[in-house]
This record gives sequence, structure tokens and C-alpha cells, in this order.
Amino acid sequence: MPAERWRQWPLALTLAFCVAGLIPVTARLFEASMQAHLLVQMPLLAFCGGYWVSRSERLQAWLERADPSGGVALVLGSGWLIYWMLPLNLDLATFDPSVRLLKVLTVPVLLGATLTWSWRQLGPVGRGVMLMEGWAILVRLGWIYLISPVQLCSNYLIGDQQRTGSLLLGLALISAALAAIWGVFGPFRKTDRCQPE
Amino acid sequence: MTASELEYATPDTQRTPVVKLYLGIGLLVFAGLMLVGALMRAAQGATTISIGPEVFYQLMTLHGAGMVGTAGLAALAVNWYFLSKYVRLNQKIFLGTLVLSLVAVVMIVGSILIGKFAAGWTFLYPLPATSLGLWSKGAALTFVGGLLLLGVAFLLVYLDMGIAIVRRYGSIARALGLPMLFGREPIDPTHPPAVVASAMVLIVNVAGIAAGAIVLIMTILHLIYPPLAPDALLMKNLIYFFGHVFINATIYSAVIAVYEILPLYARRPWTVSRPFLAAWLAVTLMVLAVYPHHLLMDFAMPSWMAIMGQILSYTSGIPVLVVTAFSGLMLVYRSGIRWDAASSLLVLSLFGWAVGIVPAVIDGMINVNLVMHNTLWVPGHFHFYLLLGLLPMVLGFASYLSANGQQGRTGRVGAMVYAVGATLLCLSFLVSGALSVPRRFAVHEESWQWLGDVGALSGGIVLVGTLMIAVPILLKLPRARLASISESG
Repeated sequence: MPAERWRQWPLALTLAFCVAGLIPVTARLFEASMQAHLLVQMPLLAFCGGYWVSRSERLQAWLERADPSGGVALVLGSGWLIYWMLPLNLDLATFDPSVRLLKVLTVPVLLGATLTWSWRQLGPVGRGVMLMEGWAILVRLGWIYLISPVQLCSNYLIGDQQRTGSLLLGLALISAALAAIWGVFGPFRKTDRCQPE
Repeated sequence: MTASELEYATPDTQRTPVVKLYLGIGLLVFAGLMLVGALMRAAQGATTISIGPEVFYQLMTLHGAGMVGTAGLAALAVNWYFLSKYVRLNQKIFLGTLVLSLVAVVMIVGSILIGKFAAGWTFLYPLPATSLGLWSKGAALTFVGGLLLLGVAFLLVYLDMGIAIVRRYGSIARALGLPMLFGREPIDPTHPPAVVASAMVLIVNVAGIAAGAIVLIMTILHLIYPPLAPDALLMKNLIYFFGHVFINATIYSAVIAVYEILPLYARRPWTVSRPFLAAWLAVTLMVLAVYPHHLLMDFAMPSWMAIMGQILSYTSGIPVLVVTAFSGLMLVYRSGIRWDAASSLLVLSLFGWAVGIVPAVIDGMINVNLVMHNTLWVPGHFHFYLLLGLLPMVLGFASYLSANGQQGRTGRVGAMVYAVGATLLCLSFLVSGALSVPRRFAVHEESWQWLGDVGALSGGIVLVGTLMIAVPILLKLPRARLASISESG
């Protein structure tokens, strides 16, 4: 069945990215610049974990038993996000094979999967707080990378760091504009409730 | 109320208890902080009270942060109470906001009274980190952390309000009445002004809190790691965007009390119209863009921002004020209104709001600002705006809900004492400003001291008036049936 075959894709995708992150040739592609490392590889790995959770019914059933509120997942995911936001850890992952392995194995599970699960379980207010905090992290991190007087990573030069900062701020600006349009004019679907009383 | 309105409205049993808590705590804190304010003015006067510069700046920080936070919470109570008539709000989130805010208050008060933090409520970067030994890094971190927690608390309730509005009205834009304003839908006279005002407050305050979330964390990071030094002017812009929007939103939240209660007295409806909707859209945009008028003294600011700040100072707030004040007067005119504590305070608030804006417009002119900005003219403006605009709205709301406005002779006299004291206090600031008396000076020259004495005396009168209104309310509040507002008009 084609539909059944589609169900296996998330796992395959996750494995593919994990393996690509471990093979030196492909890993170097992702880790060559700070932008690619932070803004391409890390989100891709996290996305794989999130995609896996949203597609795997077995995993959902297990999580429903283990963490029905999504609170534990939120704490774990936020903690792991903070850990990987520290430039030191990003730096270590570029030359220490054990840290690279840790990144490839845990970012999909402990960051992508956990935050996706908590997003699914949280109410709209909790989701709003997550979105707002996520946006604020983009700005703060971008600003710090841009103004930091010292080179934060030994493997990425200060110019690379500042370019990453600018990209993060640009991303925050675009997402703020989109969020403002969606927040004021959204959710862009006609329901019976939006008819005048 | 129609059946569909009842379907969306928050059940009455859930609307009242937490609002009582907000009002009770708010009134007590307001009275306490008024005492602090009077003490500060007395210290600037010729009286024997001498508190010393260090304590003065601690009290100034406490008075500023406390009044802004309490004004925010009290105005939120007004907003939440009336919005909950039209949409289904979550009482637990409203309570959670109060609890988080109280924790924030403990952090802020602790950082000031124990940690001796005294950088003012504006925590202007890099002052929190350069205390010259007057306060510790921990005190500054606790103060800024408290403000951050307060922002999170407000964000929670605003998200809940936004979601409830979208559920009923489809989008925030529809709640603001944009399709009616631009002719895509006919004017719906039953569309509540309270919903329009709530939509505006949501838009501006969420944007303000977002800016606050960034600038507060950057301040914390700078405190922890001083070499990380963000651009001071950008930080100041963010701080004033956050602060300006937050304090402005308080009056736009509290004015809902005028829209909802005054029609019950006048027995005439307050309906939305195209000018009303246009005014609220204009103020939504202008409140977000006018904040550079706080930075006219900063020569490094781009000229276009200073010019924008000046021009928008003329226009910001005026559309809604004109529409509200004019409609309010038309509503009251020959209506046979019953003058009691609540109605007097609500009409007084329109006067305070209208007149309180005038000193701001004057000070918003670049050339005037260069002379007046660091004088007591500015506290004259915001005391007028808040003491005679915002606070009477809150007191009028509390009086109406706890006692149906009927506080007898004490209430009426209390409102009069309050009005006289508050006007005198504001004039003492404005006259001081006109005489070039500087602001934020702990000790005043001998020739300025009589104004400090007048300020302290009038502050005392305001406190007496507040207590005359608030004490009977506080006594009745636990047993008051707040939800009776809809039937009692």
C-alpha cells in the first residue's frame, strides 16, 4: 500500500539525516559554516524528530501514557535547546566525534520530538507562549552573536558569527511581520462563528 | 442578552471572584504607594522630613514600578471583567496572572527594600549594572527578573483574551471593527465598544511585551557578563517602546468602564460608529509609533524618528479621546443622570484624560522638550493622566460594582476631595516644571521647596479622598455581587 509506505518515511528521513551528520564528507558540508550548522542542520534534525512524533501512532500512544500533559517533554526540550544554544557545545560538535554523535542522536529526540509532543498537548495559550518565547530567543541569540566582543567558537571566525547573528535577526524580523499579520487578521478561515451575531 | 451572546459569555459565577481579588489588592497597593509618593514630595519640601538621597531613589523606584504594575493589573481587571461579558475567558488563567504578578511584586519590592536597587522603574541600561556599590548585581537581577515575570503574567491573560475574541469574532481585526470601518460589512450597532478597546489593547501590549522580553533578557545578560554590551540607544528605544505602550494601554483598558457603566447611568446606549472605529484604529497604530517622543533629548536618534515622535504626539490619543469625551458628554447631557461616587469619578476621568494629554502634547514638541524634559513638567503630565484619568476609572468601576455607586455622602465627598487633591498635586508638578525645577532630584533648592510642600499636602489630600472611596468598597467587596451590573442599570 502506498499509504503504508509513506508512514515509514519519517523514520527513514531521521536516519538519513543522522547518518549524513556522522559521515565526515556530508557532516563537513553542514558544519563548514556557523549558519549552515545552526540554521540548517540543527533545525533539520529537530524537524525530523518532530515529524516522527506527529506521524508515528505507536510513539504517540507511548507518549500519551508516559507524559500526557506534555510538561515533561517541554522541560526536556527547553533544556536541550538551551544546551545547544551555547556556542561552546556547537563548537565541540565540529571536532569531537562523541559530541557530534550526541548531537545527531539527541537533537531529533530530545529537542524536535519533545517540543513537538508538548506543542500537541499544550492548549492555545501555552502554544502562544512557546511561539513568543521562540521568537524572543531568535532575537536575543541573533543580537548576542552580532555584538559579542569575542569570538565565541574556536572553529567559526567572528565574521561567521556576526553573519549568523544578522541572519537570526532577519529571520526574527520576517517571522514577526508574518506573526503580526496572522495574529491580527488570522486565522484566515471562515467559520460559522465569524458571522455577525 | 441574546441566547448566542450567553453562549459565548463567561458564566457569571466565574466572572466575579478573581476580579474582587484584583480590585482589593489594587486599591490597597494604590493607597500604600500614594503614601510613598507624598513622602517623596515632603522630602523635597521645606519640612523636617529628611530621608536622604539613597532612600529617596529607592522610594522613587518603588513608587514608579509599583504604580505602573498596579495600574496595569487594575486596568486589566476592568478589561477582563467587561470583555468576559462577550467572550468566554478562562478564570484560572486570570488567577494565574495575578499569582505570577504577586510573585513578581515580591521580587521587585524585595530588590528595592532589601537589595536597595534604585535605578528607577525604567531600569535604563546600563544603569542597573553600574550601581557604584549602592546595590548588588543580585538586586538588579531580581528587579529585572520581576519585571520579566510580570510580562509573562500579562502575556498569558492576553493570549487567553485573544483566543476567546477570535473564537467569537473570527479575528482580532474583526473585533477591532475593520470590516465595518472599511465598508465591507454594515455597521453593527450591537458590536460592543469593550471588544474594540480590548482588541486594540491586545495588539499593542503583546507587541510591547515582546520588546520587553528581549530588552529585559539582554539587561540580565549584560549584568551577568558585562563585556556583552548592547547598543545603549537601541536598548533605550526598546525600553521606552515597552514602557510607553504598557502604561498607555492601561488607560485604553480602563476606559472600558466608562463605555460600560456610564450608559447605565444615562440610560442611553453607547454604540459604535465609523468615527469611533476609525479613532481606535488610528490610536492602535499611533501608540506603537509615538514612543520616540521620550527620546527627543537623545541627539543620536535619527531625525525622522524625532519628527515622527513630535507629529504623532499631537495626534496620538486625541482621536479616541475626542470620540470618547464628546460621546461621553453627549451621553450625559440632559440624561437626568444620577450623580453618585461612581458616575462622578467616571466623568472626572474623562476630564483628567483630556486635560492630562495637553502637557504631553506641549512637551512632545522638540524645542520645548529640550527645555522641559528633565523638569517636573513631565511628572505633572503623567500624574494628571493617571491620577485624574486612569485611577478615577478604576475607582468608579470598583464603586459601581461593589456598591452600585451608592456610597452615600462619604462617597460623593470622597470623590470631591480626591478631585481637588489630585488637581492640586498635578498643578504643583506642572508649576514646578514651568519654573524649571528639575525632576529626579532628591533634595531641592530652598526657592523650590514650597512647591514640594504643596505637593506633599495635596498628596495627603489625594490619599484621604482615595481612602474615603476605597475603604467602604473594600469592606463591601467580599460580599458584593459584582455580576449584578447587567441588571442594575
